[in-house]
Amino acid sequence: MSGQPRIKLGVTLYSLQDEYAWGKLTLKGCLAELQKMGAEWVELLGDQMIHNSPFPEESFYLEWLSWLDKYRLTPVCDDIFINTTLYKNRRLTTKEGIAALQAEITHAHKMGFKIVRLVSMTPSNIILPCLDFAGKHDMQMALEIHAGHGIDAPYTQEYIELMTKADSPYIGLVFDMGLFCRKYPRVIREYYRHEGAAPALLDFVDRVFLSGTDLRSQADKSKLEEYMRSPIDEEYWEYVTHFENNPLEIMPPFLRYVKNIHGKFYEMTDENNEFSIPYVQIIDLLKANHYNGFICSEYEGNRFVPSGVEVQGVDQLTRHQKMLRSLIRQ
Amino acid sequence: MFEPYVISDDGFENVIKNGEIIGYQLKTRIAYYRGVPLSMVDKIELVVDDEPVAIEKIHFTVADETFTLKEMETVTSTKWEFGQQATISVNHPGGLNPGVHKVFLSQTTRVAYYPFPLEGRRTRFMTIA
Repeated sequence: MSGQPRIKLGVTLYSLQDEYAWGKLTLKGCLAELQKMGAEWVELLGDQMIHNSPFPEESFYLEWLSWLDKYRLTPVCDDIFINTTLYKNRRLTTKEGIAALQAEITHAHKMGFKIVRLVSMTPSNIILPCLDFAGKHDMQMALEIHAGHGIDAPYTQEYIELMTKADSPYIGLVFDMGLFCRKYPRVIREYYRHEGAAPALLDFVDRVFLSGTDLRSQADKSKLEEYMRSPIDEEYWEYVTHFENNPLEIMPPFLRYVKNIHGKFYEMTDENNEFSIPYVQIIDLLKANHYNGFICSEYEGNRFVPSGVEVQGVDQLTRHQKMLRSLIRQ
Repeated sequence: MFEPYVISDDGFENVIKNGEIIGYQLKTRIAYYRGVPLSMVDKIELVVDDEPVAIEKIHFTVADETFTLKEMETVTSTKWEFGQQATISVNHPGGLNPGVHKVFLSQTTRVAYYPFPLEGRRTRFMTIA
């Protein structure tokens, strides 16, 4: 429908982390790639691609703003971390946590971001004390709802209660689409098969996801002894229990709080579909609920490319963007 | 995963100072997807030719700053950036003999949101020229 505000489509540079780590792409180079694939909005992790974040050299900010101008990009969201484990002998105090969050907000603001993504398990007692500070910087604080720390997790519930009570435009959520894994990612299965995980275990996991559920409720390893042959099986099992296969219906009640969506993907197939995550249904549901916030493509299949094979992050992202753009415009 | 980051292809060599071989070194990238202050590096374990290296013999260098592992515990002002190569050097007069060596490195980081520290490990056979 013309005139109706559309979902805004971006990319998180998390997707290009492997290229960055090996020096194949700089931060500026990543931005150039985004423009080439037609992206207009950019998300990143300060701790991943900005030296000494959240305290870079002052000259960095001018450079960054000039790159945004050059590549016609607008910043969406800075994914931040509060280093509660900074010291070996203790956790950060509440006061230290508040100071750390304020430093991140100041930094994100100087970069032009309007949202800071709070990673799962960010201490909830530092959020409200930063609310005025966030408001003054026009910065929305949004907790990520991510598989492994989904809606039902006690910590997430605590935050949701706080958010609902505060009812402030500066406290919200980021939803990660990894919450909706309909099929267990094939690239992860193949990675672990190469590492020597037992085929019977790999098949079992595939069957559970295809049957419409996941393995959160079956974390009891004793039920799985028949599949466990080696430490790599244990590792696979531990990893798999953090994946979720939720009904899409968990999302609409929270959409009014959602500031940004992580368009998580593991593998774009040759047919230009995501192997695990039902994007057709997701975009339909977002449109039906008049969501006009952000969705940023987030490629995570890069971690499961066999050693010695080059990660194709730019190609995967380009295809994911093309798929989302087409679904949004339909 | 992050295994390829744990031991770099380049930089495994003896260290010469004032004409004498005082030890050896190797290079490593953080086995995680973001940079952290050095104090969050919880543990470094190095095993060369199946012999564990005493932690007192190890120095860690990043961004032109060098610390012992014990000193690193309180270094919050220097970050080990994502993708940045750090040098692990071992005080070992005479160095390693030329030829192939089996090198195991493990680095453990206290990431803030897992209930347990995150370990990256790798074993490689590498050559001293």
